[in-house]
Amino acid sequence: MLYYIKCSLMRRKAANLITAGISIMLVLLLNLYFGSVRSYQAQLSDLAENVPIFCQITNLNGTMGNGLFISESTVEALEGSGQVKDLSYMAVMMAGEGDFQDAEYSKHLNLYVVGANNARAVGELTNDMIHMESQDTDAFFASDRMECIVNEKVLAKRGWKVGDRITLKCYYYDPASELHKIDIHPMGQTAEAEIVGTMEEISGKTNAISTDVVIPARAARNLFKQSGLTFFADTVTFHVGNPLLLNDFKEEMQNIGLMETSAEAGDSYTGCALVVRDAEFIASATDLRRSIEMLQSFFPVVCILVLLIGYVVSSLAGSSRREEFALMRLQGVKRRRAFLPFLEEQMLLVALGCLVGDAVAVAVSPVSVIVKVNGVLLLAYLIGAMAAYGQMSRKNVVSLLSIRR
Amino acid sequence: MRPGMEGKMGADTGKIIEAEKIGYVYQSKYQKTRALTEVSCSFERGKVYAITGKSGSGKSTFLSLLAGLDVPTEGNLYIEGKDIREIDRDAYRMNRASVIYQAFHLFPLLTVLENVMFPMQLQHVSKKEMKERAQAFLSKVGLSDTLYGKMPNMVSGGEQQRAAIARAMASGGQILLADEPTGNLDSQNEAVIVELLGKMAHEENYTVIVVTHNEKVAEAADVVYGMSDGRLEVVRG
Amino acid sequence: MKNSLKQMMRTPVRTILFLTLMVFAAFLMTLGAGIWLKGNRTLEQYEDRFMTIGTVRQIPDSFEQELLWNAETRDYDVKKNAQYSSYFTPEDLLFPGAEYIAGPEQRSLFIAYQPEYTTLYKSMNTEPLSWSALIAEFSPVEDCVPSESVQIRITKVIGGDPRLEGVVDYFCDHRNPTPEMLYKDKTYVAMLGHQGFSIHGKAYEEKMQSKSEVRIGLELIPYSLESELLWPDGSRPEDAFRDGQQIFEVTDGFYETETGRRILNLANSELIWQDCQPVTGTYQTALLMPFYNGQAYICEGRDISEEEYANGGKVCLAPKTFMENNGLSVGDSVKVQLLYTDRKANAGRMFSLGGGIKFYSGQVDAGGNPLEVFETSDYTVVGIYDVTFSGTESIFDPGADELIVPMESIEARHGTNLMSCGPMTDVTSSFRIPNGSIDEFLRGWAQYGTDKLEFTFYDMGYSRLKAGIDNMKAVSLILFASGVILTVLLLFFFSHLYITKQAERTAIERSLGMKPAQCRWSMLSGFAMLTLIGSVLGAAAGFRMSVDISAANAGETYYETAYTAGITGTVNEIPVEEAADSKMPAAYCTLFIVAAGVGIAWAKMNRSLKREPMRLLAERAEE
Repeated sequence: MLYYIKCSLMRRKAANLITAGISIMLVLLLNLYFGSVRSYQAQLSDLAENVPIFCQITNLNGTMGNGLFISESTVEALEGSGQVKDLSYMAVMMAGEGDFQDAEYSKHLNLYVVGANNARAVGELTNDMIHMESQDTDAFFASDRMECIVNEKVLAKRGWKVGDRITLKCYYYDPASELHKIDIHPMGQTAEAEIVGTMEEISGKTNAISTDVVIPARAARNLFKQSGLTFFADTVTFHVGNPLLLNDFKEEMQNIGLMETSAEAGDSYTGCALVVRDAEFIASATDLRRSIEMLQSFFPVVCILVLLIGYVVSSLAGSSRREEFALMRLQGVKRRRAFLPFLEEQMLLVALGCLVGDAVAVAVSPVSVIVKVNGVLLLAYLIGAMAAYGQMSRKNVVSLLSIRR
Repeated sequence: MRPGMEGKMGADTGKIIEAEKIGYVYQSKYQKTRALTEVSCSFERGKVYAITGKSGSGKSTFLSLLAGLDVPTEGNLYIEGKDIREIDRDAYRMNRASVIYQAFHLFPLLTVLENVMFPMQLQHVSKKEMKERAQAFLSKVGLSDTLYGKMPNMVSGGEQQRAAIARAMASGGQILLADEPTGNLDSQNEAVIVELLGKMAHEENYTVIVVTHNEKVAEAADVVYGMSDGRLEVVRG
Repeated sequence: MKNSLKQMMRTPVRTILFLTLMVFAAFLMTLGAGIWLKGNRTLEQYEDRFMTIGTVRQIPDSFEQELLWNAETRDYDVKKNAQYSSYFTPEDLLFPGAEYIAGPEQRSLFIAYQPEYTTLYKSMNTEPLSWSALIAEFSPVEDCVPSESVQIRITKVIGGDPRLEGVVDYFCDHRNPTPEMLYKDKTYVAMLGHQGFSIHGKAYEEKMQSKSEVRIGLELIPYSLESELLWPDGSRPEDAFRDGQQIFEVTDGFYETETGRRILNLANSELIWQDCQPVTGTYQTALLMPFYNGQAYICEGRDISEEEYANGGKVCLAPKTFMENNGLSVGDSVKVQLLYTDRKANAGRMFSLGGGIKFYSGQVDAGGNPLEVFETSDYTVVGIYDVTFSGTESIFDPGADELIVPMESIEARHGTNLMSCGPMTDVTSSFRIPNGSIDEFLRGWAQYGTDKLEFTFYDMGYSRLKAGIDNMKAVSLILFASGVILTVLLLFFFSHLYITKQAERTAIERSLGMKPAQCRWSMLSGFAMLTLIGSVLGAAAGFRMSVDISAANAGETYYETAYTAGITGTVNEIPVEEAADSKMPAAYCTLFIVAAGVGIAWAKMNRSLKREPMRLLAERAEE
């Protein structure tokens, strides 16, 4: 029988090519279909990874993003949120060197002190603009020690050097300030800070007031706590932890108590609203998800089609072998065995087609998908062929032989 | 003894097939059609039998029953003494009885030689022996070796029918059933086939049963049965 | 045909299967084409959301040191000024092979004099802010040499905040190493302003010591009366007041002199800035960084169209605050009176969103004459934009009240009343190139360009996503292509069953005397009819399904837009032309299948017809 299959394979080239060709195409179609869904999904996660969504706390009418009073509880809630990443916040204080009478503050108050949890929080400062000898910048910003980084120019002007301990008398901005008239108040006792590094001037890049001294955000928070004052952040920015979970993120922001900006709201310094720069992400991700869902909604149709084509092609190919089947039976080959060579030949061709298709599809489909696709196809073909031969084998040999005439 | 040959009547009785009042009714969904009625006869080795009759008289149905392609709905048909219902009819066709048709029915994808080798493949004959025997059979039926490698559709009808006879011989069975074997042939080829069938019966002890309405073929037979409306009668005995 | 169909009906199972498969093949192909087209459109939309823009800056050829006297340190400050042998222009960026979607452009900022409108500054301040520049007569409190901060009394404000009359403040001729003596009984006039110098000097320190003075602050210094007006090519005209005298004694008839008239003209223009509005001329909104990076977004109306940009339509985008402050809405027009041109600064640099304004001091020509509005036109507001925060203040920040207009809409756009001119910089010069072509651009530039220009590219992360986008494109194309091939194979399969295997029928027909054309018609008509019926049904079903799926899925909202800045209403919008569009693939697929079916069958038929009927009859049909 193997010989017969071999002869048949060699001598029915056109028909065999069509059978194998159809199965190649079906494999490709299925794999590409799954590959397509997968590549859209991959693109979606790439988008989420590569296009971070920027968020900023603003005042209620959304007109200010810095110089705000953002409550410590908000900062803490954001710090503790799994939906938030790259949280940057800073608080601004005014300070004077050494101890001085409050009445003389105007003469002494000439240092801008910023408490920040990372370099980005300080204007356009970057880690490589900070020069530290003993520790790295991340460790500095993460600590709660009273250490500071000083602007190089200030360092030179004041004759300070790294390792010095400086005494600062800090003043904080009053959250009760009226609009456009910010009040500052002393924080009580002086604070000592060790200079552990220097930073380059953030020159020209922004119109912001140049920062003179940077201390870790936690140290700044401690300063407020020790003085019995409520800590307020000046600026808070962050990125959405996982943009794919944007809705969860927004729900969490609502739970934290952040409001949506409202154009009708009056001006205020209270940082209680959130602006999320996600319009582009939403537009792009919506496009992608629509495509994914559209493709996925075709899934049953594609499966039915493949099954049907497999079945029909197989059963038609099978029924074209009636005469040979009848001849086999006439030669005394058992009913069950008579259709085996045809079935084997058919499945061999389909399997061959699958293999060729797989070789191409492996570029776009994972192995699991390829296996699934092959399984579905082979099954479809097998069922089709079995049906065709089953029907044939029930027929009378003589009638099968006479059909052609 | 080959499978399918066991029987209560031995080979020496000479009667290889015996029909005992057999009848056959085709039953379709809507109607019953009687094709054979109380047919009784017997067939012996070394003879050519012709069954003649008009189209639709039941000749081919009878031949199908003789080939074991179906069983009678009434009566008994004994093959070498054994009821056909009890034997392995597939094995019977494989080893004992071969059928040739008006339409030749060679395997279209096998060459002439391969067609003849096919029955031996089923019997697991070694490749070398198979080939030698096939060539011998083909030469016995008078086909030249230039045709061995040709596909059936590349040779003439007479050559195809001779190849079909060679294939029948190759199965090793001694019963040859032929359904209008010369129906598609010209008179020259017809004569060749008739002669060949006679030789098989008389020289090689085959039982040759030919269904035909060709008078020349009937004339060449040793025994002629006539069939009319499903009933068989001896025309020449 | 009747005969042909009758023949087909003799094998009803096969015919029904053929019809069914044709229906499904057409369905699959239409659906495939639908997915492909939709996918392509989605990809285009998706790609369109990404924009690649480059900003340009010219590297100085050298730096020139300028020595400026500093009265506080009693030494010269060294100021480095960038020197450029010439300024490159956007035309210099047109190298062979460069493909620009927009630009390159060096935007001009125009300052419009808009007294009829409420500017952001005026809406925030009812009076001009104190201590800004002013032109005033003053007398020193004591006779003094203003080589350090000395007290003066402002006796008469000629130009500037009138409330400053009578105020005593510190003054220093800070940049003059040899200031002249000022006498308390004389009256002087100068353009005064703060330039960031703290009050300094012995007199001040003594007062601080005695605690009679606690004010810390900045001293007033005299400004040059030099004209800032440049020739349209950026060169500076001769002006006698350059590096000249800055403090003048007011004597009888002083204001009739050339200097006096110049001072009066400067005084008249002094408070103009609070009525000024920046107008940015560009060739595409996206070339403006705030719009590109999403800091600014259109919240009402629409963007300026490509045609309007190209044809110089008198349309503009206006900021929300400006529209609100002036009770305007989309469709209203704004009368724009252009006064100055600035080829160096961007609007945010001069008119900060917080309300601060940096303005020119020498608003007269080289002859000391006042400058006039050079172009007046009415611009229709087609879109209103709003601004969110960029996180930190940035050089790219948009300006307060900034109007965006097509550059081409300004007739005198080539440097009329040019107040400032500079090389191409990141804030003024940009271009848009196709996504993913940065490397190609830089390669081309390396070959043809100069190293005196540097580029910064922004692509919204496109290059990182590019591989994925290309992959999606390839996959969607192959998906469609394999659908087509599958259909063709099915047609081959069936034509094989119907025609090649019916060669005998053809032979009989021919032997009965039918002509080849009749045979062909007899065989093909049925096949073609079935193919047509199948493909029409399949394509209709495919079309129906793709419309249903598109409609069902277009309405879906995946992401909440709470907190979202810059939602313009275009997000999640269902393209209206979608349904009409998807009919085309259905029609094309039907046509294709029928044409391919008939073509294949025709070819097979011809093969059958070429052979002799008798030979065909003699053949055993291969099965």
